[in-house]
Amino acid sequence: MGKRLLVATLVAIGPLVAFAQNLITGHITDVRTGEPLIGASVIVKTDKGRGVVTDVDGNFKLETKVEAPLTLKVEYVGYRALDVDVYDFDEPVEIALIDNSNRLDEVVVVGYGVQKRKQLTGAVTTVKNDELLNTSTSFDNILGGAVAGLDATASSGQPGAAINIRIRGGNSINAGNEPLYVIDGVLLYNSSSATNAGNSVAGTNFNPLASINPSDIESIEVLKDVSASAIYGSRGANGVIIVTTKSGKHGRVKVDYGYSIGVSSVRKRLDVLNAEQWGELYLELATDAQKKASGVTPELVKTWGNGTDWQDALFRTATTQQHQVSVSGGSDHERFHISGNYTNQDGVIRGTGFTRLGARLNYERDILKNITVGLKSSFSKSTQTGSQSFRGQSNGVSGLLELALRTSPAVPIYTTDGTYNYANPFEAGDFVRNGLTPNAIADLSEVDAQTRVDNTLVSAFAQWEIIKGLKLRTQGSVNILNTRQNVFGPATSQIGFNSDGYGAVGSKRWESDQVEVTLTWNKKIGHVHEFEVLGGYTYQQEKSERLLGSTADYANDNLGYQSLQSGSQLIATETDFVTSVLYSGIGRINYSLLDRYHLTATLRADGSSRFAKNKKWGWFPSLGFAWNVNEEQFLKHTKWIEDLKLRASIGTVGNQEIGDYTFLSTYAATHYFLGGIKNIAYYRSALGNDDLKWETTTSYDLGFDFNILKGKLGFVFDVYHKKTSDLLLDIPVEQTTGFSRQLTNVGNVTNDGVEFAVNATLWQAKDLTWQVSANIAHNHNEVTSIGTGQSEIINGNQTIIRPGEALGTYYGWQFDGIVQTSEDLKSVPSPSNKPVVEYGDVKYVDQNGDGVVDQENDRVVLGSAQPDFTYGFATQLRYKNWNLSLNFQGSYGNKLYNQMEQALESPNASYNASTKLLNRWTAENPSTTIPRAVAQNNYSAYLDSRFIEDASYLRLKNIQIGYNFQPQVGNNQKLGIYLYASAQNLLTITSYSGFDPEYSGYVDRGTYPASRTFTFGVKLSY
Amino acid sequence: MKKLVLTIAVLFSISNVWAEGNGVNGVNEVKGTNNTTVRTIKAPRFARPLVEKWIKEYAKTQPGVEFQIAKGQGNTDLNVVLEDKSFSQIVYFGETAVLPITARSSEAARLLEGKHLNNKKLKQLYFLNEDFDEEVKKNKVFESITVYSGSNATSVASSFAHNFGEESSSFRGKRISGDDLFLNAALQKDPLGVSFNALPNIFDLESRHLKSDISLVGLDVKKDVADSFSDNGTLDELLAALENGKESEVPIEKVGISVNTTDDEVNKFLEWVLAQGTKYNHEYGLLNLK
Repeated sequence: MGKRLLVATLVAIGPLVAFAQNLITGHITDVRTGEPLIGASVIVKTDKGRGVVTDVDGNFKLETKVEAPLTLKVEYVGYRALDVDVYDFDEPVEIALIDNSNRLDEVVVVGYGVQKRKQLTGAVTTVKNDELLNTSTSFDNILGGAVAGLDATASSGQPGAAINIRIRGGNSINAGNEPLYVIDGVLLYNSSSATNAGNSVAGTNFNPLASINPSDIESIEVLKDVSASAIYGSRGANGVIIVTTKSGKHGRVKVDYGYSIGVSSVRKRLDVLNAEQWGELYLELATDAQKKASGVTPELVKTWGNGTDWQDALFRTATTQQHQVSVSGGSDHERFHISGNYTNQDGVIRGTGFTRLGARLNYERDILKNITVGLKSSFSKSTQTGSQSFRGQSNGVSGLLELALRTSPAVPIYTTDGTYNYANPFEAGDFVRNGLTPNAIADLSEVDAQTRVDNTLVSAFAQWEIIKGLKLRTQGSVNILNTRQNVFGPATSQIGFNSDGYGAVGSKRWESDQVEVTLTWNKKIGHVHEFEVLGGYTYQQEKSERLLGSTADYANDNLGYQSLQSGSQLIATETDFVTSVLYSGIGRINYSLLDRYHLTATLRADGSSRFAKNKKWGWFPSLGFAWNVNEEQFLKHTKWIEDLKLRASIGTVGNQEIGDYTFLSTYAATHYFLGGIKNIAYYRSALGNDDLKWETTTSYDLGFDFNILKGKLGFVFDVYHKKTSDLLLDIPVEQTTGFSRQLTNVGNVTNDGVEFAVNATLWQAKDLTWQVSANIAHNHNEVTSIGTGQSEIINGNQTIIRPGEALGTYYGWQFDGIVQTSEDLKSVPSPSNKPVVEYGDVKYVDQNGDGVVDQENDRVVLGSAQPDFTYGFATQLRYKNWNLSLNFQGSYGNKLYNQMEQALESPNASYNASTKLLNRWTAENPSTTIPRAVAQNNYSAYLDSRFIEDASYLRLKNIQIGYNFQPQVGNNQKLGIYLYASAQNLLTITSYSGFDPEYSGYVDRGTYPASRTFTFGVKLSY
Repeated sequence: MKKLVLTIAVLFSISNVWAEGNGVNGVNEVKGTNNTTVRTIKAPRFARPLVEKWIKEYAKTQPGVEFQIAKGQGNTDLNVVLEDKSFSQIVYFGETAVLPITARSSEAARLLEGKHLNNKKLKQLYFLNEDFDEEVKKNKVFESITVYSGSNATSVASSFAHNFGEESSSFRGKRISGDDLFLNAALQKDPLGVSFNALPNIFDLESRHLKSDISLVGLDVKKDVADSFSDNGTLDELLAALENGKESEVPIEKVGISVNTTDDEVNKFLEWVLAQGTKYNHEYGLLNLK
């Protein structure tokens, strides 16, 4: 009986013992993001390693027999392990882990791999996602002011237009100067020619990068020096911009949505005469015959008043809307990021706009412990609408913008019955046909012009870690741009004016296929040696096919370009097919000694179809050194220094953007008539060059990174010298060749500069943080040789290329005032464009003193478009839940030829003029700056120093104020809400009198003006 | 007989299991002594004496309504919380000050004796990102001091860290989980331990003096209040000093009640707390709202 009772008692209390365990619950998060950490290990230290891992919400439950207090060890890859003493099982254990990286451990994306910032020998600037404010439709537009030595300027203010980027100055005269873009490992030379089907009147340069949604970008790395860019060999000379799009992260699924709406208006309007003012000018300028024909009398002019404000009709308040949505997440074995976006941006000029609809899928999966496969894919369809381009006769006017600006204010836009007015009595020359004239405002609504681009970019990779430290990676990618450029102008429009309507459809398919295989071996030997050896092979082929069909003389405008066959006049159809291939071998060794001395040796061999037979392969080596001085004994204990790294690099890179088939002796088709029959003939159009090759840039860089006060204050300084040789130039050759010039690698350009950047955390407290960053860069650009047989090259009577001068140097007459009545007319040098000098005429400096001002002997250098320095300044202020950020961008010392101002100050009886002419010279008003009004003065035909303006500027590019809060939704979940308002181009300080000083070209005439935009938005994050 | 005994044992064990399970889940409506619905309040230990006082006093005015301190995990009607930036509904009733402490007569207390630490030195002592300055470095023993900090949601660790522009993840030393009161216990086990705690956790609310096993870490405060921040000061002197002038070395955080119900009785209780309950703040070691 006793035994039975014992057994029964044991059975009875057994479960009690079994359940006499302590239950510990808890939640583990990332301290910075608050995101739950999935799969973190939680172990009771004194319970024989008993432990659990956290679930998808970061929660864990752990039973233990150990009584409190006990110690939990919490570990998670990439985070600092933490011991937590648990005294009380009643409360859930809340643990926030901090990632174990610091700034120096931060990994930077470099060509074909990543590298610790500490070990980096090159000059690389990283732009993080949070700096890419979602206020621009294209990411390259945001880089200006953010990176020292990177100059980003718009080719046009039109939505979707190309941005020109120069890293450490321009290297080339005739080849490309744009940097190489590497989008998720896919190499792209950003050229608007990829989306140009040859239908030039359909629109301005479409920016292929505008197809990429800035919100999808995780980070941007700008490789500036040769140590970093040499791995790209013949495409690294202009710098490299590496764009990495977002990947999913290990953790719970995150959903983000953003919406913004913006209102844009033109930043500035030009001051032109009103109708009455212009009428008075007209009466001075017009011949008696013109006055008789137009019927304009002084009495009539007095009744005109302000007349038509053409700029008011041209510009509008435009809206922009953007939607962004993304879903991302990941588990132990896979990561994903899916996003979609829609942008609809109206331009500030009527009839112009840009829309983009895009989607992205980035996916990675670890199919085995040591094999990962992934896909990065994006698709977008973008449409740019509206065009200001003219076709055929321009009558001295650059486009619709200028036509609207300069059409007489005495001319109404509409007739009395509300239809467009096509009868401008003051119009002359090419723009009058059968009594009708083009109307710029009518063109903006009646000309149907659009560029549609479908962009597919897909890359897939597989990575196999064969043994520890040895990785084989292969990646294949394809980028396809399908472009359609459609345009139709009715007979009333400028483009259809002389041909009773004009329609054209251009189609272009541009494709780039790329395959690369790399093998990377990492080896660390003790704490002394660390190697990374990279070897690989890449192949890239580009193909483009183009078709342009156009007809004219339409009996019926209704179907427009959708029925080119409705045009009775057939215009020769154009087609072309271009292909290029690049084979490359790459190699790089990174070696670190004592984690203190770092060496990067790089070599790339490029075999390009663009190079001639004697120069098929180019070899591009570089060496980079870095020294972490602060790790030396003499500085190691200086606690206020966190990081002091000296860097030096030397190497050679190339520029293969020399065009396709330029080395070949090519033949072109032409027509001739024989016996009234049109025949085809071929002629030799170019003299081949068997030695034609890439342009070579040899580069030297010295720099340091210096961070103090725990990284709260950091400096980056670089000084560099770049010499670009083998410049591609057309040089004179013996006439016996049958050609006067031949494309040859002969010239040299140098760029010398310094860059300085500073980042500082001025205040860091619970409720207030304040950070500032600033950068400034100076670059001295100089042409040092343009080969033998020529001493200078003058482009379009505007700029000169001459040894000793910078690229973009303006060349013209020096303004010397106005001829006053007190002067002896015989002593005034007579300009060749107006030999008979009169009072009130413009005077120019007679440089050689021969009494005549002519183009050959009296032009001088008038300045350069190269800035003395560019700079940027940004600050972020956070107070509790509020934040404020400001981004400034500036340029100093650059000149710009304001040809529009020259046109507006060169009056005639047809077009409107600048209000500056109200102060024009008369005997009663002896102006010293504005000459007398005289038609046929030919002033506008020549460049003079009055119109080379200082285009220095300081611009508040973006200001944003936002408020974020996190209301709780559901259990333990919070919805992140961020409300913001921002303004772009709110303030611009400049003395430049044109629409905008930030312009990428050398000559500003009728460029689509920049706009000022106010944006309101919300971002939701769950 | 054998079968009967075994059956009883099995049933007994099953009932235990059932009871255990309920205990873990524990989110059930609580019935009071008169079978009335009981509203539960969860409070960290530093606020618990005050809340108990409220319950007692409120019961005198509303005998039919019963409030209890919640025990264990599970949903409660009211939670005493520190200031929360998210938009939860919180009724603030007072503030708590947090002071750095060590175990009385410990090695750490000896090392810190006579020191009057300012913001910079407190950061150096408590947080990972600051090093000992040259003066402190002379004494190598300082480097062996261990900081104990709380990690629970109701811990004053965040308040302490934020006061110095740091995050609670930046504390040196060891974390403890459980109520901040256990920080005192941790200090008793480590002679080189320092920590911090809310005033009600470090003062004896009866004697109004520091708890016998706790010593304050000396702070660089204004001379006229230096005595109040010494081991000889009283709780009331300290409260008066803090209400009369802000000391940058002393974190002060709002304390409030978050409400998880729309119950009218709960709302009435909150109204009472704001009208009547706050007069007990000083008695129980809390500062009045400014």
